[in-house]
Amino acid sequence: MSGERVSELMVNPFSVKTPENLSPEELVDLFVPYPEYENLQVSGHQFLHGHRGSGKSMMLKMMTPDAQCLTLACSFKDLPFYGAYLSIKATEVNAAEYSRIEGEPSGFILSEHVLVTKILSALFVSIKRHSYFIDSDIKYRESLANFANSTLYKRLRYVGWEQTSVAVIDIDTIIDIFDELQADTVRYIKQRAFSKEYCPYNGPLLGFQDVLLPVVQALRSTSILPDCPVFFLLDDADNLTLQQTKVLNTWVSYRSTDLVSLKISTQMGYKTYRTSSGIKIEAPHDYSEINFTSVYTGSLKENYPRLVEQIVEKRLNRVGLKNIKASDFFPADKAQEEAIRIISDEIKGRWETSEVGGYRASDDAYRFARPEYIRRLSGVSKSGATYKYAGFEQLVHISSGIIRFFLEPAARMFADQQKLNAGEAVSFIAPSIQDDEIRKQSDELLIAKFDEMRGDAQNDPDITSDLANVDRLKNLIQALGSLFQAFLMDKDASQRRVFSFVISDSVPHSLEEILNMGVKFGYLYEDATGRKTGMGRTKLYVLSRRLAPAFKLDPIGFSNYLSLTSKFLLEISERPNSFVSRLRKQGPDKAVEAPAQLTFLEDLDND
Amino acid sequence: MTKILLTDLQNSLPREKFALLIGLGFDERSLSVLSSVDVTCPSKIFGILNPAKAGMSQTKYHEQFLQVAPSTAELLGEGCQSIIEIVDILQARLYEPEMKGLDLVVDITSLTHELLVAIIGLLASEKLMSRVTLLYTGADQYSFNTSSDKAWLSRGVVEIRSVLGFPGVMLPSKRLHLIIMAGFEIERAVEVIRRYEPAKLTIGYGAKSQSVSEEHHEANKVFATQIEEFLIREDGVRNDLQHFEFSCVEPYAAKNDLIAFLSHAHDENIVICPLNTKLSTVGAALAALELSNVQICYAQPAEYNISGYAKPGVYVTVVRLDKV
Repeated sequence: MSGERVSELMVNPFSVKTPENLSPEELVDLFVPYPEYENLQVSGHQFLHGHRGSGKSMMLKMMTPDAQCLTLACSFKDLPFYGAYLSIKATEVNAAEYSRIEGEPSGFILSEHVLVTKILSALFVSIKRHSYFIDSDIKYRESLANFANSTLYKRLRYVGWEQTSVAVIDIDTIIDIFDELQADTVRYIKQRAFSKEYCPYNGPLLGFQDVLLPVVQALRSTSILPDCPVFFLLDDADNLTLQQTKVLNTWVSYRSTDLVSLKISTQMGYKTYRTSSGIKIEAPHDYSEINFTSVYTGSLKENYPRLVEQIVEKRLNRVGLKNIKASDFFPADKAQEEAIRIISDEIKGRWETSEVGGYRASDDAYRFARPEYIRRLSGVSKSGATYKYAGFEQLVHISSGIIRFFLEPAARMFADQQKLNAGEAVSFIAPSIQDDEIRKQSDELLIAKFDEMRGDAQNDPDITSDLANVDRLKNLIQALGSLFQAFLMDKDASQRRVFSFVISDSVPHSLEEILNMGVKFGYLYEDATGRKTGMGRTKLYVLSRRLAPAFKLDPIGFSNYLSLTSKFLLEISERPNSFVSRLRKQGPDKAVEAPAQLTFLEDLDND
Repeated sequence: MTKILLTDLQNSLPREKFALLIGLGFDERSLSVLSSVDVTCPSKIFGILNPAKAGMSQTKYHEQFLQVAPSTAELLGEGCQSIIEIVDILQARLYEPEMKGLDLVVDITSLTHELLVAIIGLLASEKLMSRVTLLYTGADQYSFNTSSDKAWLSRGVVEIRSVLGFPGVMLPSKRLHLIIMAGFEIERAVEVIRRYEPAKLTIGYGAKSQSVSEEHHEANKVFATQIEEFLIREDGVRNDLQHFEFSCVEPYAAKNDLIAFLSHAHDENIVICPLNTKLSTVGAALAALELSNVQICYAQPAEYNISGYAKPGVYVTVVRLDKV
């Protein structure tokens, strides 16, 4: 287990390194811009919502000065904005000790102090990386001294900092001051670990208005920072405590965006939008929102496959696999594609001879052929397991719009292929290896992930009601998957490629909770769709295509949706087995009719 | 530190003026100590419960504890949902007049690693360490309800957090160095590494001469290697990986191993994740008491092998903390 042995291994092009550990060059090299990236670069407070692995951190890191200077080929002083990045790690801010302090009257003030100190510390650490021009130019050294004496130290003294003189003024000294401020706070927090009784905090208390804003303004006016807006890039803000979240929301409610904008990323679990005083911040009044939770809801509906293709080809190129197309690197199973093509010809032939068929494009025939192929395989083997979830197109659809869901299995596939090649270079991933990994991932989502969620609910006193909902969600997903599978397997069904549903009546709170949990944990994705009746738009719930192998579904393309009643959904969330047995006996159309109602089967507008 | 037969434990305990604190969980070893001593000797006996989890009782041995222990015995932590609540209750009891001047004998066998570390923090903060003796009953067999190739103790990770009293000092100006004291659970270790996303990683395992047995040492090394291989498979090469060996059986030795290793770590935010034996976890807590910038973290499992966790062995390890 020596370091040398490890470093001799060949690099895995799909490894998902955290953006924090990437060099600016690697970052710029690997980054493929999402359309949302443009919107992020304008001033204004913004929330960036996306599941883990959807590319949020990468986008935020791309807005840091190193990456911007490389991308724009500009100097530090010509940056269009200055992005200071701070990753909010759960284990730094959610220490158990905070729960004691947050219940006390001074809790909000201390929470604000903790946040301001962390953010300013991150800002000065970021400035340090570019401070070579400060050290080498007396003019900037004087500017820094001027900034420190006339603003920083003065402001810190106003809020209780007792140090009266600082001998040397350089960036390191300033970082040390913030380190010391943080260490003081931690010492106090630690002291409170075993002290239930209130004891006052005697250190300085830094605030947003009285320290952070004046400091940023002075940094700009003294040319330590370029004269451009400053963006604080706060990654994974769901990890903040409830009180810290309220403090951050209070800052969002301030009109400070000419000087400072907050770009806040969340993993769909942001605790509240209320401020310290209980007022709710709202979009677009206080902030704007960017959601890129999935291919179905982000801006990437059409562009996602192209984005994944670019990412794959960039990564292959980096490890010397030049000029290899993504579709060649992840080939489909040839025999399977040929069999599907033959079925497609059959379907096309039937349409042409049918009197009622009308014109159907040949692409349509190919799309209809895949579910038919899956059905026939199941008919023969009774297992359906020989269908291969392989080929770049299928992998892209299965990743459900989350790039990490493409890259993580791809990294494992690469490692398996490498092992199989026994030293030979990897030039493609065998379809069987792709299929194995995709099936494993699907099983994990259906089994292990639910165990994890159940454990989570058991351990959190605030969400104990979720425990029953975890089981209801599991039932709902099982039942929906079985229903969609039944449509696919029913050759007489009017629509066979079903992956989503709308709710035809008003949604009770109990059902909403289950569905929200499904969205939060990535089993379902939300979208809106227009009704064919033209009566406005309604919420569409899409089953994650990562579950396609578990239910033998066809993951490719957008498909049809069902219109289901709340009563039906609640019923299957409580009694999935009786529904599945009804499904077996009566087939999908009848099984959803009674006792609940399938109101009608509609075509998806954006099919 | 001594390792003796449970049947000889009575001779290693004070004759009088001590309180016996028994960690009660779902593990069969919860009552091993209590059943092996003269329960009339301690001035007071407490059963300490781990935090409650919804849909699961805090201990399987509630009634048996009350049957075996004298009528003055008490359960602490019933219905508590967090470590902080349990620690507050325990602290309040330590201040009561009847506890004044008593030595404390704590059976740590069935406490979670998190509660164990937090209690050590409490005892240190109350300056009681010189009066504390820890007891740990070894297991005869782990995962006794499965075949050895399917052995498991816990699965999944629901939350990772710093332990009460050991938040460390995490500064944005320093890079994060995560030290995993690997045990026999790859999943937990990998999840901790993923959540922390450290800039530098150290995987430690039990030293040959300081493991429960040579087989344990070999198995531990294999698990440490598997963690590494898993990471390489998932995330590619890590050039920032270091290794170290520690004692799994002797807390003071484990503490010294950690302190010696950390003497080379400068300008880093250091987080230790103890996933090996309870005795090595005590070592980690003792090290962090000395190096106050170090954080100790706990990875809470989603599920335990409740029905077959461990069968009690016949030996108990006695550790006096008066050297701290």
